[in-house]
Amino acid sequence: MNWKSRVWMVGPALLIVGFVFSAWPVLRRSVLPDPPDQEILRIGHRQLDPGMRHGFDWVARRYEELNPSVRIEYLEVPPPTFLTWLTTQFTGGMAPDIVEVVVEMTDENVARNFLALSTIVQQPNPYNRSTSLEETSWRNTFVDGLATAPGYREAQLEVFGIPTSLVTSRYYYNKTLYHQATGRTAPPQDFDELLAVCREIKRWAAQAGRVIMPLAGSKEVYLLLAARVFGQQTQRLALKRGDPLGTLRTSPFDLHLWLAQDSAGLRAKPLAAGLAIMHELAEFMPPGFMGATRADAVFHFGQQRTIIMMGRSNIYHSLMQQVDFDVGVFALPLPGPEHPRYGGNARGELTEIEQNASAALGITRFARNPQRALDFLHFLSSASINRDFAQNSRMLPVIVEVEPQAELAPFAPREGGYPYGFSLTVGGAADRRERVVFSNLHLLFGPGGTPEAFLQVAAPAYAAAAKEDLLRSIRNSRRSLARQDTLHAALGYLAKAEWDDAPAADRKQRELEERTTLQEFLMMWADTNLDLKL
Amino acid sequence: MRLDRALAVQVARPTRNNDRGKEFRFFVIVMSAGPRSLGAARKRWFELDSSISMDWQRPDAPPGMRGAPRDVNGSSTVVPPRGVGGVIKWVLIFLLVAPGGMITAADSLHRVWEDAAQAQFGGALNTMGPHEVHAKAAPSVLYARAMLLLNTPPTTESRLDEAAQLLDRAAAMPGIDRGSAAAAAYFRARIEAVHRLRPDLGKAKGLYRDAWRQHIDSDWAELSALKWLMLDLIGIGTNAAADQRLSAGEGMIDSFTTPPHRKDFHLLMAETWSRLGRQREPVLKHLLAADEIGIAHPQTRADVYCAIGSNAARLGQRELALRYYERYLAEFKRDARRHSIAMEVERLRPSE
Repeated sequence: MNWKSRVWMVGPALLIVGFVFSAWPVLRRSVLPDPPDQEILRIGHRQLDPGMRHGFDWVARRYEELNPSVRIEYLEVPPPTFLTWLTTQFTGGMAPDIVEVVVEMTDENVARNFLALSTIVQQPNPYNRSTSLEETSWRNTFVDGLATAPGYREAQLEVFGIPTSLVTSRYYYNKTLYHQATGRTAPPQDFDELLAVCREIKRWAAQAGRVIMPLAGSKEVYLLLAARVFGQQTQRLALKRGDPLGTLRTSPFDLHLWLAQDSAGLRAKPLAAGLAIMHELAEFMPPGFMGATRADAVFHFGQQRTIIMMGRSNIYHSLMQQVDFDVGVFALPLPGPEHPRYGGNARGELTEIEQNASAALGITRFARNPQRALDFLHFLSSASINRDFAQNSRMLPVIVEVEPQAELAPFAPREGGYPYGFSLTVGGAADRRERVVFSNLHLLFGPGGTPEAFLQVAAPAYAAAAKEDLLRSIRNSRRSLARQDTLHAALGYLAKAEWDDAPAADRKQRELEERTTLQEFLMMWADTNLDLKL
Repeated sequence: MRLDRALAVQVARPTRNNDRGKEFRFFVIVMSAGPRSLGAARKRWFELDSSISMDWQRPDAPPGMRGAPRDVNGSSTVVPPRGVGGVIKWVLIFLLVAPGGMITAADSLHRVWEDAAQAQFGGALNTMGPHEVHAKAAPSVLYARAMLLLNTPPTTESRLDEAAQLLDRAAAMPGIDRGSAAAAAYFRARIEAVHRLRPDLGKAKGLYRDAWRQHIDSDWAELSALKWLMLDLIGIGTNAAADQRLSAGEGMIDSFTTPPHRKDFHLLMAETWSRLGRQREPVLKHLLAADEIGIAHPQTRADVYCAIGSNAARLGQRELALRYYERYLAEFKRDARRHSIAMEVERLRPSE
């Protein structure tokens, strides 16, 4: 065989050599080795907002100064790919030491891949030594008491994530244009003044021949507004229809059941009033705003094509970097109980005391040194560091007794006020009702749209949709109860076993029995009364 | 049998100070490594053991961190087999654990339940392996497997049937203790009540009644009674009117002797009276009784304090309402109802 007859082998041979050359380093090591005498703590999260990144970076440098042998590396993953990335990391056993716990993760996924922290959070945070929180349990140093998602998982009654910040929503406004258009400097104090301001801006823009709308709009803005508008208008109705026991907190199952039973539910006065308020506000938003995204709304605001924009506190840092005009912040003024047109339905201002903490970090089961990871979380959530973290990231602090910095004071959660009522999509499953509402919003917000036009079409379909949603909620609830049965059996075994955690297992078993019995009763009650017409 | 490294390490993770358990885990690891020769097995063992020993030796592992190594008293006491003695030891361990399957070791059953308590149902089922449910399997093994089958995907009807059969088998076995038999009977009823795609509440009610009557002295039997009562109160399998059901329910109070279940009975009755009876006196009576026993979950406690306050206020029992509202304000600093309750307290407080 001469060389010419063997030349075909060159290609495959090169391929094999290339494969071996590439595969060798992959097979030899699954993770990069740490440099000698240095411990690397890897943290994966999806907080790509510049403020959060800056804050995390600052904390890392402080921690490294305190622990010179430790280096902290952040793996910043874009939100759309975060879950996929995480799945591959967990599957490959290469997940970082600390990872952000997000609501989209399933309970099983969280339990399988993160360390449960409930026992640890009962102890004080060692980094709070010599402060007023020295003897407070770590759990109680957080404004939410570590009792809200995503860090806390109700199904397992377990804490898996330690939150780092709080998020509230406010109106941002362009101070320069606002003054130019209205001659005012102070933001509107009540709902009627807000409407008056919007009218003045609209008139001024028309006279000046400028295309400027008073309020920015997008689907996100609609959702933020609707939650508050309906939340306040339904405060009294919620207690009437959804609180038979008198706990002063409403049960979503009871409210959902009422909406499914009462074919005129959507026409109830508070809901109709909510629609009317939304209609009034939408008059001042750009046409077709429901098709716009949050980025569109921010872009329009930055381009000075809108003057007032509803947004979350976590965009404050990036917004300040993007705009070159003075920005003010004020809370959304809503019609109170004394309002001449919309009063009577509300009890008062909405409270924000239970605002969910966000950006929760958990220790993965793949952590090479869980103790180090825990130490970092203690450090990050100590009162003094959380204060500085909040300042560097321009986020709201999550630790009690830590005041937000002056420029963020308008974002501070309102602790007074009354609980929210309910929204048009109350209850666990809302797909069908969302479809009815969203597919008819053009009758409310479009040209010539009115609340009545919306109600004429949406109301008859809404009760049927509420019933379908309730059936799905019942199925979901039943699945959740079924899932808790195995957990229950496990706790029953562990509570009787001879081991250190038996008392904790017994406590959890009792909590689980109490919660699931009540949850099951509400679910069964809704199920058996679903066909009862009001 | 194949077991990947991560799972092997998990199985090997010490859960109790039990040398036999360590021997057992050692055996599992070596076998799972799929050794082709003694040398390869030893190599694999050292490879795996290096990470395990590292964990065991770590003295600073946070003691309360579930999932982190708990046994931090020292390194593994397992000595890798050397020579003929080591091989004989292997064989002895194999003979010890093989007849009952992997799960016969109490240590491993504990591990399975620990995983299940962390909602790692699939992982726990894999740890048990598919082949342990033989004729001589212990009732505790059957029971554990049934409970894991209920929540390990795919949760098909045939799997539910298999779980139901295992629970029936476990409950009827002579060696089973009273508590486990009652638990198996309770969860058998749960399959019909909540697990099936189309639940059969009438059948579930019958099974709850059997579980309650046949295992009368057990904790789980009282839970069965509570669930039977729940179905009866909402009118499943009965034509009795609402007030008759409520009064029959009141008559069941002596069926609940353990404090947690007696408390749950009172909570259930309060919820039912508020919906069916629409009377405040029995609601208040049951809520007070539940509080006296002690509410387990903070959220329920906050609800009960507020409900006692509001019902007492409407019944004109101002002192009682104030007492509970003030307890609520003292205990729940970050609850959405704080402002409303503070307003109520101001309204109820006698003017100076």
